[in-house]
Amino acid sequence: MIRHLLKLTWNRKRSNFLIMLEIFFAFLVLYVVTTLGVFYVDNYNKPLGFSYENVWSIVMDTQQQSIAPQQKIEKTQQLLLALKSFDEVEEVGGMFILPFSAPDYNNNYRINGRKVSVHINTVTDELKDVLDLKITRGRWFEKSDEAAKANLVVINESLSKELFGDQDPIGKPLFEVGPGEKEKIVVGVIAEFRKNGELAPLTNYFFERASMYDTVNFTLPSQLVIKLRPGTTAQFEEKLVTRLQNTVGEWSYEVESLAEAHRSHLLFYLTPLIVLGIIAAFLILGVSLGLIGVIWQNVTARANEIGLRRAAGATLTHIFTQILLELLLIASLGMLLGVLLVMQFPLLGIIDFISAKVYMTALVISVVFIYLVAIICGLYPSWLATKVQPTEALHAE
Amino acid sequence: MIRNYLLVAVKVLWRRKFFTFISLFGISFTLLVLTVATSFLDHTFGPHAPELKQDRMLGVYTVRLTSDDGSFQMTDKPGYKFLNEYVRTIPSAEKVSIFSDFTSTATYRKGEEVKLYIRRTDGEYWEILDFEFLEGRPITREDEQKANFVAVINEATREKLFNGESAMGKSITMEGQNFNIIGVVKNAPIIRMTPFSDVWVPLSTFKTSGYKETFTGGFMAAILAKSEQDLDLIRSDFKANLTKVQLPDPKKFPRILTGADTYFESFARNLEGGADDPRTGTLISILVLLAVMFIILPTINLVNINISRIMERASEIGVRKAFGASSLTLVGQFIVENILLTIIGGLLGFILSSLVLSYINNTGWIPYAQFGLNYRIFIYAFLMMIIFGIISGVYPAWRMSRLHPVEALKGGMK
Repeated sequence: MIRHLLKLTWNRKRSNFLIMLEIFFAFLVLYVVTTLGVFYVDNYNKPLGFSYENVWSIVMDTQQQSIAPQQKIEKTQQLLLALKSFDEVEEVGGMFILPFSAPDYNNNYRINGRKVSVHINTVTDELKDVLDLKITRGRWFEKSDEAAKANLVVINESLSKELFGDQDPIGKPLFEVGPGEKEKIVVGVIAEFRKNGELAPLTNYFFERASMYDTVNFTLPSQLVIKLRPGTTAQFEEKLVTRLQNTVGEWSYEVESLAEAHRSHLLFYLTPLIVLGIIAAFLILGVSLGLIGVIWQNVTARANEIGLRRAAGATLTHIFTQILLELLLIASLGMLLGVLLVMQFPLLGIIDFISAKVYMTALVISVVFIYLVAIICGLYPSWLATKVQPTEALHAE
Repeated sequence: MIRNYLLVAVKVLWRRKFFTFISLFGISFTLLVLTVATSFLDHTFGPHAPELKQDRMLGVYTVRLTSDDGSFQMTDKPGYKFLNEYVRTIPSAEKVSIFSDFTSTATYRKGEEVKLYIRRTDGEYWEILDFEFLEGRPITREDEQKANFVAVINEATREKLFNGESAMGKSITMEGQNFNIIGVVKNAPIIRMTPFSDVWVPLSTFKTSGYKETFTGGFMAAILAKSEQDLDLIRSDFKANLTKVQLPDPKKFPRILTGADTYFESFARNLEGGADDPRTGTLISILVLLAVMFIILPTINLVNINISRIMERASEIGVRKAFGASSLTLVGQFIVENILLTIIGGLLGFILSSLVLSYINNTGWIPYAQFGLNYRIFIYAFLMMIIFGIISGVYPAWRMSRLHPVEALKGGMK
């Protein structure tokens, strides 16, 4: 049966080649969109690692004024006092890079001959309570760390696994540092901290401790995050900004709820998928309609051949499956080309933050989907083929 | 002759409605996507108010400081000091404006936050750009010199704050500063980096004068040339100024990469790290490549359908061949048919894209974007339609011309 079909397909290679090419490109388009979709779903199912409900961020703009560290620390202290005097504010922390914000600070370290990309943030002691971070091993930063000789860091589980494997990282140096640099000592491990939200890939992350007092290293962050009492409304913002403005008038303040930032950040990730998805859907709809037309015409043109087969004793089911299987055979050939091409992505690791699992899942989904489309497109023309009467064919000869 | 072809074409298209529908669907959708993309590009880079003098405008949008081997790089907006010393002094420029990048801020109306973008400008900004004023006047050089607390707002902000009533003589409070509103302008979309904002106030109203000392960060410059021919002169004058530049940290970053660019060039400049000149060629190639990749699938689809349509008419072609029609005539006839079909599909696509664009405008997906169709986009779309029609028609027509009359008359083919 298969050999027979192959021969038939080969005999009509010129028109079949075009259909195959069409399937090939349709498969590629579908594969790109599915990969992105599967990638998002895969990321979404992993824990975010922090809570952004009832958390607001405050960006302090010092108006580009060159300001002495001592003075900046004093003014920030005044602002912290002002914030804590509100009943609505439960906790205030500081950090260099806010969750769901555009800036990123990452570094590529060469560790044991491997290149490891690590994202870094500098945060204050209170951040754990503001963002509700989950400590899995060791401890979080403490006030007494102010006197510590080394740079203390808290890392996430991904980085712990990357650097230390199954060993316990607590108390160990993060990696070797150059001469004259302070050593970074791991004091704790948090479950996760995904700054870019649920749809972004997991990253290696570590926190350095920021100090609100240190005038020598001057790690005072200019972004604050505040945890609000549940039920605080958006109206509170005006009160908050007015008090900050009255406390240190020469700076500017930008307040945003993290829930809001989260929403627009999600949209930022989803928009390309939505636009690509709509375009792909219409492209594939166009291709499906085209396929129906082409197969239909093929069947009409091959009425003689089909009639002859019927006269020679082929059943209706035979005819039906022949037409359908021919289409599926062409589709398989087109997809084979496509699969050979897209297999190169995980093999070469072109986009390394997309895992092989995501690639393969997307591949399977795309293949199944194209087969479904091919079957749906083939149903009507195949049924039409069964309507051909043997007499027609005999008449034509 | 052409008239005859067209009549036949209409008849054929009408006879096989399903095929005609599939073709039109494919063509109109393809053109819809291409037209929407063209409209995006046109509204990002084309001359639209308030940037009507775009053909003689250049900007300094980014500064990149690098180490000698390029391994350390810092890319940022230029700072005020840099622009004031090396751009303001370009001798061949007619006017130079320095203005801040837009930043997010808020004002409060009955306890409700109203999020706004604010931009601080000099007086020249309003002379270079042709904002359309709904009421009032622009910020002047005098306002900037005297540090008057005056503000120009856009139409959307007037709607949000004053329900669309006249804003003249009213005031707006942001970051603890109170500004008198002196003018209201039409909205400029966020995709235009130079004009976009909600509120504009004079540079000198910054809370401290710290901004005057910054080499990088937070500012941009617009340069107006006396004529289009002067653009190259301005570029070289700026290059000459850059040879005298005093870098803030010459040990770490001894090299500076920047230039006076058109808006399109500024995108090309950011494309690749460490380029001395904007790579407009690369950017154009990327755009063309994207369009070609998108167009491949619909083209193959249309070729397939066209072949089917031809094969169906095999006997007609056989008759015409038997009566002496040359292959060339048949190819010509078929291409005319196909172009007619693409034009109908294209017009449909054009109508559809105006609907899609107005939908995008209404959703506010891109703030203040008013995507529309104009003659430039129409000409591009029309050209694309013709190319699409010819490409998808040539191969099927060639197949048609090769049909053997005897076989064709029998209605068969391989």
